[in-house]
Amino acid sequence: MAEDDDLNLPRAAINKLIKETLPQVRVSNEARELIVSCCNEFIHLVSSEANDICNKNTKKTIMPEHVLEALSGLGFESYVPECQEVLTECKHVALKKRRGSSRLENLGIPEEELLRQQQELFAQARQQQLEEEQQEWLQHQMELAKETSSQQEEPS
Amino acid sequence: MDVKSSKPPVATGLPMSRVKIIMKSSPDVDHISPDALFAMTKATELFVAHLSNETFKNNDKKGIEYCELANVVNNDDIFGFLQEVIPHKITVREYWKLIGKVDEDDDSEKSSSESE
Repeated sequence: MAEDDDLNLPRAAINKLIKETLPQVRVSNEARELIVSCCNEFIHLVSSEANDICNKNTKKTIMPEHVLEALSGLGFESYVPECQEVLTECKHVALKKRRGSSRLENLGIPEEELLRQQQELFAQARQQQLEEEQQEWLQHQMELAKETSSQQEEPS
Repeated sequence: MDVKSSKPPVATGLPMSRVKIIMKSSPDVDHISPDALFAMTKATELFVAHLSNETFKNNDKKGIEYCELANVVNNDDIFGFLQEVIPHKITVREYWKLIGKVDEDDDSEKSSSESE
């Protein structure tokens, strides 16, 4: 069974999902292991079905709609709305990312100029850090000087 | 292999990489789009919740044990595909009865299912 671990979903993740679903319920270890096995079977079942649907549509790659159709066909149509919702969310997030990167491109600043500005910012940051370090060093020196003078006043 | 190992924009409760491995261990499954993998992962999460809930509801007890899972699987059509994974447990005596008491010397104390 131990070798199968790589082919199974991680126990911890399944445990977490069970806990989220039934927070106050005690679930035996044996039952948890079984649920892990059931997930395997579920994935195989839906994958095979989705693969068949994919082939019927003369496609080479299994697309999300094949998975959703497989779910419906196997009696898991209740899962479809939520799956569709997260897929849509995925698309929105991906779109935002693309828009975000194109915003940078649309600034109209050529790359060399952007690089120059970046170098300038680095130099400024380095300078600032240098000044801060110098300040710290000066302060440290002053404190040392104070200590030395106060020690000199005390009898050794 | 067509599946890119890019991070999903929306977090999933199960690791997509592992789901991918399991999918590809199915015969004939070849190319899977990243979105299809994502949908599969989400569906599996829903499945865990569904199975756990059904088991808990149907048995009205405080916890979930093997026999309760077996009950749900053997009574509910939708979980019929799991009957081989979670058959009802039987005692050794019942097993001997079933096989016509062929191996009486086999005195193992197993209370595991007959398919094992």
